[in-house]
Amino acid sequence: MTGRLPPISSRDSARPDRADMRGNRGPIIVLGDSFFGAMTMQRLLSRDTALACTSGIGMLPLCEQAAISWLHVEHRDEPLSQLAIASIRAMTDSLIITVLSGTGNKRWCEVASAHPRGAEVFLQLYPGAKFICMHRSCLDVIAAAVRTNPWGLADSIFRSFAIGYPGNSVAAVAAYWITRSEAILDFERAHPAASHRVRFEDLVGSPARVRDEISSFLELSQEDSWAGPCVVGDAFGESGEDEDAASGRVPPDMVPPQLRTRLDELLQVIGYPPMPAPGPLLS
Amino acid sequence: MSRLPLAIPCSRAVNHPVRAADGRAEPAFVLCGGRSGSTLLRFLLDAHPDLACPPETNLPVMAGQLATVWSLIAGAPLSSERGDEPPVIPAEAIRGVRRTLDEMTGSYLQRRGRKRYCDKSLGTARFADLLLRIYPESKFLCLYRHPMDVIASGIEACPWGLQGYGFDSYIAATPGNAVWALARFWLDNAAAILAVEEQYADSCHRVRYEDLVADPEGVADGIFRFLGVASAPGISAQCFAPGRERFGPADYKIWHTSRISADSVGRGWSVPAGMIPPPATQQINEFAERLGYVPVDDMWGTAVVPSDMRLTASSRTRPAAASRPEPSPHAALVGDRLTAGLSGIDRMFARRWGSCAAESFTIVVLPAAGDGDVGESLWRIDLAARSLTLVARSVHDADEKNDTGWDIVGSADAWHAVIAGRTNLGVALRRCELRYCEAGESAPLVADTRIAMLSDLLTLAGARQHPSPPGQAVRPELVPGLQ
Repeated sequence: MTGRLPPISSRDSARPDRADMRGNRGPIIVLGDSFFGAMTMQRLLSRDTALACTSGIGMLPLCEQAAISWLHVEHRDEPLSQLAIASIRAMTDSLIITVLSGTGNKRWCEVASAHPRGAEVFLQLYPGAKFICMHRSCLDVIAAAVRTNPWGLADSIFRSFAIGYPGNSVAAVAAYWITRSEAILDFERAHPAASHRVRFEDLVGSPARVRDEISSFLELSQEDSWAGPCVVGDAFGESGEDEDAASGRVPPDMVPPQLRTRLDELLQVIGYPPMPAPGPLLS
Repeated sequence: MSRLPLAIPCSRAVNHPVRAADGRAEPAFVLCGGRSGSTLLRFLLDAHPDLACPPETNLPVMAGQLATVWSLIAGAPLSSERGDEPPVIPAEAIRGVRRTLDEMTGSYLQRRGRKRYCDKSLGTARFADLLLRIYPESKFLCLYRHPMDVIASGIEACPWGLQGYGFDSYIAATPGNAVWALARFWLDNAAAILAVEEQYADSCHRVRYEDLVADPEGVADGIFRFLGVASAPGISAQCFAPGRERFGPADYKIWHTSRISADSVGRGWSVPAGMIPPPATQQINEFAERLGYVPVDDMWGTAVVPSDMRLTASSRTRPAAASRPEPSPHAALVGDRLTAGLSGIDRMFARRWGSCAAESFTIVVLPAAGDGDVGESLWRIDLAARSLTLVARSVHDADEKNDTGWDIVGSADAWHAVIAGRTNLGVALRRCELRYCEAGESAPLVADTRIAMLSDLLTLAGARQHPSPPGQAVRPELVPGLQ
């Protein structure tokens, strides 16, 4: 979708809360779920006194669904019409303003675990929006997902992938990782200026550096700077981001060859080592 | 699960047993499903000087295949379904199968210097009719284990997905729900074994895993008497001596075990019973009752772990712990955190959590392992009144209704891990180490909000990073589905 935003009326421009959502002060979206370190990122961002952080409120799926509905209603393909964009934005504005007014903060930040398709629409609504794209080693995601869901993946974000790989949670989560990573990488490539890549390992390994990079990318003002020293150590323990991820115990043999090839390609793009070679399973 | 057909009704009165020429006793078969303690039983059998019980041979499956082939060669009528066993297995085929099996088992017995062959293969119950035709004097040891412990054991054995042990077809039918898959696995196995017990009572001897680990010498003695071999005092220790056959599949833990222990009994208490649909739970409980096991009810996992998974007189009349308002050390730790949290409640807390900030709820701390008959510790929190009350509850009072709208229940160990920051609250809930329970049904996001509020109240990791004023975050820990 490549539709352009309609011009903002002078009446709208007079509203300071709307002005805050344009240009460099646009909304912030963290693309990723807790298994990718998104909650740790949220905690880091919520140290900024200007940000009102939410997670999983469903804004991106809402935008995506609204866009689909408008395309149907107007019997047209992409891009969205100006009317559609204005209508959807009016809806999302009211939600965002409600969040901001509830907290007294200036800028909204959402952790979105939904598919990045919704991010494309959101960017049309808010061209000044910034996207932090979270990545994490596949083996760590698998280990965290399995540890968090010992009874099965049915009641989780991995559900649809579990159906394809019954009895093999490793493969199911690996397939999920591939799908998400591909989508996020596609988004990064399509919108390099609006997106900033963060690897979870860098976030917990060099939090100060990552913080500075994020601060620069988000153009956070000095007065809104992060409160206190940057310690992300206690971020461990978040759902799926715990210290017991124990990726070393994940049996690489359980990743089917057809997934392994794609997995290694994506790992290389993101800067991770390839999957370990299959070895004998210990019983 | 179908059974192999018989040419004639399988009653020993009308069977024509074919006895071994050497007069050796006919085999004994263990009827069991995976994760029921069958490897331990095999070790006990194999440790007896007269018995030899190799690792899983799948001999009964082979007998079934042989019988089919032999029947077809003997001109028996074909099954209407291509590939199925023929409807009638003629006596000629039975004799042929027996000769083959005798040759194999005889060779094995000779090599081991033992007198009687025992076989422990998963899914043998399906072949019980056939085995009794081949060996009319054979004996069946019917092994059971509490269903929830089997489920817990299966998941522990297959942390990366249910594979092997006969689980594959079950998880294929309900991918993503290992609990239900294993529940059906247990049901199918229990149904098949119970049916054999019912039909061939004289040939069967019931063994419950829980009895075996509680009294290995006594249970072993009962088995040996049933098999007509001499008692073997001390066999529960001898069975772990070097010399067990190591080829073939077996429980992966047995090679690192040096004694029989009841430690794994009750591990299924953490299994979320809600993942099993009610009709299946009802069926499980029907079988559980027949087997003398505690049922899987609404209280499963939310009260003190039963001291015994068997319905025994002692478990029914377990003495109540004194209702003393004195918390265990772990419960006291939870209380300290709650006290600190309550003292820190301010206007921002109320703003963050809305109407939930005026609710009352209960934190239930179940006794840690080894606490004996100590009852639960209940912390009742009244947020509106900023009050915390300790209520000690005995196991007898477990069915008492709480007067608060919602509870979070967990073992002392689980609470300690969360408070100490070793386990994330969301992960503990997801893994059912802690359980959220509520009276009635609330709006979808209310449970998440309450849990996030508790995290705030206990000042757990994450919540600590959200100081109250100026209230940066809207429900910072509000993560749908605890993801």
